[in-house]
Amino acid sequence: MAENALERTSRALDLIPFVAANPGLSIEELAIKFESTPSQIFKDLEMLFMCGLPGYTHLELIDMELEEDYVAIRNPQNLDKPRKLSRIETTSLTLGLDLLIPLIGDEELKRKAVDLRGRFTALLNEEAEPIATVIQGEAKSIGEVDVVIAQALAHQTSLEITYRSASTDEISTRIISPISTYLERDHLYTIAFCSKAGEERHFRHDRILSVKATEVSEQSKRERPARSVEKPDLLVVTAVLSPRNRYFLEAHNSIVESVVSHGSDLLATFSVGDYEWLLRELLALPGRVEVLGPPEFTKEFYGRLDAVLSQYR
Amino acid sequence: MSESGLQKSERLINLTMALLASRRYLTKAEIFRSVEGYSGTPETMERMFERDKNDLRDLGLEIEVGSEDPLFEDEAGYRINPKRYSLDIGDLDQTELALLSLAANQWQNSLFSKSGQRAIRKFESIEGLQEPVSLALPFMKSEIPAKHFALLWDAVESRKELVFTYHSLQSTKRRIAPYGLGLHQGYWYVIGLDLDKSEIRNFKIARIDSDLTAGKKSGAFERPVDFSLSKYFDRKDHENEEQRAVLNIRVGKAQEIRVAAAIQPFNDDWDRAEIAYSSKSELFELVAKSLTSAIIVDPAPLRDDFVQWMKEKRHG
Repeated sequence: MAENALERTSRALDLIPFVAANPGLSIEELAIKFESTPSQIFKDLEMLFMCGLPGYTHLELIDMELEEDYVAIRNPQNLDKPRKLSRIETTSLTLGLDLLIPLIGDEELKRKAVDLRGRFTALLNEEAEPIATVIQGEAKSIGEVDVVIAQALAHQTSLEITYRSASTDEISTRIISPISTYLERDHLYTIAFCSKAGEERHFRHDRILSVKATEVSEQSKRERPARSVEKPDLLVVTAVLSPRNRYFLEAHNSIVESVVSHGSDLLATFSVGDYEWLLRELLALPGRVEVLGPPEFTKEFYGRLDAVLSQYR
Repeated sequence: MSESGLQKSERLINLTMALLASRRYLTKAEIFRSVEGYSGTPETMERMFERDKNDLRDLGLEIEVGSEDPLFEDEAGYRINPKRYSLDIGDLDQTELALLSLAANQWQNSLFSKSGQRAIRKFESIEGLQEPVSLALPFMKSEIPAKHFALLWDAVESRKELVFTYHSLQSTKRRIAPYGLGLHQGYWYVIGLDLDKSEIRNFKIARIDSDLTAGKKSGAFERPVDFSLSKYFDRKDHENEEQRAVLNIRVGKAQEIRVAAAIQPFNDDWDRAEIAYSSKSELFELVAKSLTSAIIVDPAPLRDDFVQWMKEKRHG
């Protein structure tokens, strides 16, 4: 059996009310919507043609128009309404709202989200302790920077920011055109085109010291490249780390090429474009950090380590 | 002869429709007589029906069992109450649907992302497809996808014990009774009773090895009635008391420290920063990242600890 009969039944029960509410979609559009294949959806619909209420005359069967580019239900019988949400479906929404609510600055929108969360929580058995939960760290609240960026995103305008860079410990002023905002490990970031760098950069909101709306000339808008495709030269760095630093490797898995056991420690290989950033991060790790290469990076690492320690002599 | 999946799905849908349509409890005999797809000997049909009933319950359908005649209770009948079958969440406006769509779209783990999309399709089965509304809110990247997530969800829900190798400072075999799952700063944790240590512990799912197995037996343990996931983490979050340190930081440098500290001018080259901290390692990380632009001045034991902490890099 190519597919579990239960999966097919579940999808078919959901297809009927969906098609009834959205007549005229093609088989392919339905396949995309239901994360399935066109041939699977076609088989489901053909099967549903044969289903109905006891009696099974043309009056009791599910009736539909079935063409490749046009599907409509003429009579869904008693399957016109969607099934209630499962516990996992409800949880995926309530926890999603839990993550979202602290990030909403607009009071009216926030009230709506909180109200929705309440309505969906009521669908779960109130007596039962939840299976999963979002553990909020420090209570996040939306600050002025976040609100100004959200407005710039909504109206597609540009901003002038003063920004402190973590990798260079410097403050700079830049004109940025926000593209999108995301949350990663409790920090908000905005991806924006940066006129100073001439390419897309990620800006962490709590490192933006000031922000104001600004006009960007049509000239500079035209000069903006569509997307930066060139990647900086990547440096491959190898280091032995104490297992206490497992969290660091997990948090930066996009630059970690490999991790293997090395006695009781871990041997990690990084591939990184921002060397200065990695130097500072490695110096700030606890326990053993032994940089093995490349030679210029190793020299820089131990030179900095000695310089820090020399201040305490 | 074994039936095809298609035949089975067809019968399950016919059975669902018949049970939904009936205002009274349908006896098995009535079901076998009227619902298309049941055939063979009485024993065969009986077995088919038992399996079908369990399958529909696995799909989340509530099949009520009852009898029309209280004098003949053994003649049980079955039906599905339409009110308990269909989704009833009231009206949802365009903004609410956009909020729900955003909530459903953020998940990286396939269990929640697929479930979220199924939920959205159900709303679209009531309200119809909607024009996208932009709420100018951040899109989520707040979850690192966790392997084994579906297995862990099932183990918590069905109360099955878990056995796995856990990689922390050492790699050790653990046996736990899982009480719940928690998402904290992007990472999923499973919280449960460590059966060998008899203590409630949390385990970062990213550190659980692929040798994870769940016991076959459902209901293998009881979760303590007073256990609460949110209270468990609340307690852990307030373990450390806040302390203060005094640092010298170079004028115009150590920007990360400046944001968190009270700053006074000290001399031409240095400012003095007083900073509150609750985690020594977080403070050391901040100072180390500032390289030669920050020096711990006071208290002296903290200064000594920092020097030791930096030296550990060479010697482990």
